[in-house]
Amino acid sequence: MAMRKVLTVAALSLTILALGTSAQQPTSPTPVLSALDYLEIEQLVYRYGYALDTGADNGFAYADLYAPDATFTGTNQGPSGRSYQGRDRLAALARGGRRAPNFVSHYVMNVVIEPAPGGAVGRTYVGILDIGNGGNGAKSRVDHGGLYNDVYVKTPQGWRFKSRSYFESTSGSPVQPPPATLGVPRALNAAPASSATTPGSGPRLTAEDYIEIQQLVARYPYALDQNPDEGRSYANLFTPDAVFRQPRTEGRQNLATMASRAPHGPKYTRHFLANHVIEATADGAIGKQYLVAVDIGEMGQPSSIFLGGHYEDMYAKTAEGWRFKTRTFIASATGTEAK
Amino acid sequence: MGGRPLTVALGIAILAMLALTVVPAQQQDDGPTKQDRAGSKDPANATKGLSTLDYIEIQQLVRKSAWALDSGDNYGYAYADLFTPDGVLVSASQGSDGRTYRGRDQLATVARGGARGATVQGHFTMNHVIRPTAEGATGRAYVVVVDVGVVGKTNQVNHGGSYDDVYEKTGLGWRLKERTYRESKVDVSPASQR
Repeated sequence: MAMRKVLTVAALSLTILALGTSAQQPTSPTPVLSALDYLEIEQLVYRYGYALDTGADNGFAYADLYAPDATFTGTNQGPSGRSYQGRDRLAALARGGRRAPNFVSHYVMNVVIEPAPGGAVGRTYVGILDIGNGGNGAKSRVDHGGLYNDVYVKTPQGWRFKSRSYFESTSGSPVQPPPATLGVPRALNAAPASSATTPGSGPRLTAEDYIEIQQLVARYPYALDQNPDEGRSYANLFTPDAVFRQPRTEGRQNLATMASRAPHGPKYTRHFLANHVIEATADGAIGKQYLVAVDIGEMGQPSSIFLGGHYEDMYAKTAEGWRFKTRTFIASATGTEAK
Repeated sequence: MGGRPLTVALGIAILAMLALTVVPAQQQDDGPTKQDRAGSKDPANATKGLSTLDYIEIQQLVRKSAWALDSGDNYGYAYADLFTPDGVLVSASQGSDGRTYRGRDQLATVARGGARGATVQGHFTMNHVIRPTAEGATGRAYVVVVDVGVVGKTNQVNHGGSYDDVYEKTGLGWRLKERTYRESKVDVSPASQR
């Protein structure tokens, strides 16, 4: 009798515990991304501008940013939007129009990424600029812009777009159906860094390397536009033997002098950088970014785009941290006049 | 003697309860978040003081501030909730001495009125530099404010400048503690370099 009582009480207690515990556990694990996942997705998003503006590989460089069954939807195309699915149709999208190896137009920024079941979702701003063709006198202007609403999937080749939809920026009436609201920022729960998939077996960069190189490039405009110390901060972003091109400038003293000759001031903002792509190399890393130099109107004067193009960089990891070893500015050029 | 089996049963139940409540806590403490953050705080690298995830969280915070400001989500409170409860926004370009918005209600008003909506993109932020500090982090970002798709206006650069930020790590994640906006202004403009 006593043993039956023991077993009954124990069984009852364990049943209550089991019920309580199962109620506390989520039905599915909360999706998480590693630091490298965030950075690799960002790299995918930034590559998009280059692939679309250059039309590289007959448009297939663009198509290969998508998973095989992925879709791009231009909600601004026609009365109800237009979708493109599959590699050939996506490649066709990146052909025609104004494309050229040094053409820049799609400036992507404000990239927000959130983990989601099966991968990740994200959203970015895109400013689509009509940059005057290689200094031929054509005036640059803001053509249009809006947002991309993305779903990302992790494939054996790395992160890819599963779907991407473009919404034209609009205010007033009529407005397009808005995408779902973004979540409130929260403390991130990270997956182990080893879960990130960097395809290939070549040289790799750590998440810290990506962040440091991003920060190096982000500092560049401040050192040039605000120039608080006669160009020394600017020059110290480079290795001692670094070379800047356009105009070719070598050595830190010459770099400091060049920076000091540029317009500057404590509140001055002129060099806006976007689409920062970074790749590991055997010697360090290389990278590129879009530049748009904007002359912000003062005292009620209108603003204007001074120039646009892209930088091509080599980075070296020194005892002081990552530095520019070479930096080359290439002005935007289409090879054909705007129609 | 009759109470002993009952005591044993209750003891088994209590031990089981303790085991089931302690194990998840240990998994959380020793989980990948902690390992990742500790692993990235290498004194030899230039990001010391902040983990890579701290940088990513702060980047996401600043980018979301543009989305919240342009969308005006939740009657402006999506923007206000990116700040700490005592957060401050100073718009140095408003009026002769600038204008300060302090606390959730005042901050929400910044993201109301004017051209707002889920498909309004106006604040394009770039060049985000983050620096660790003893209390948390500071940062700076360029912002160019563009009229795109605004009814009755030509697509154009409207104005621009930079943000100076102070970030604080709260129980909910990183938040803006202070943000100061300064309009772009050139002081030295050698004619030969224009």
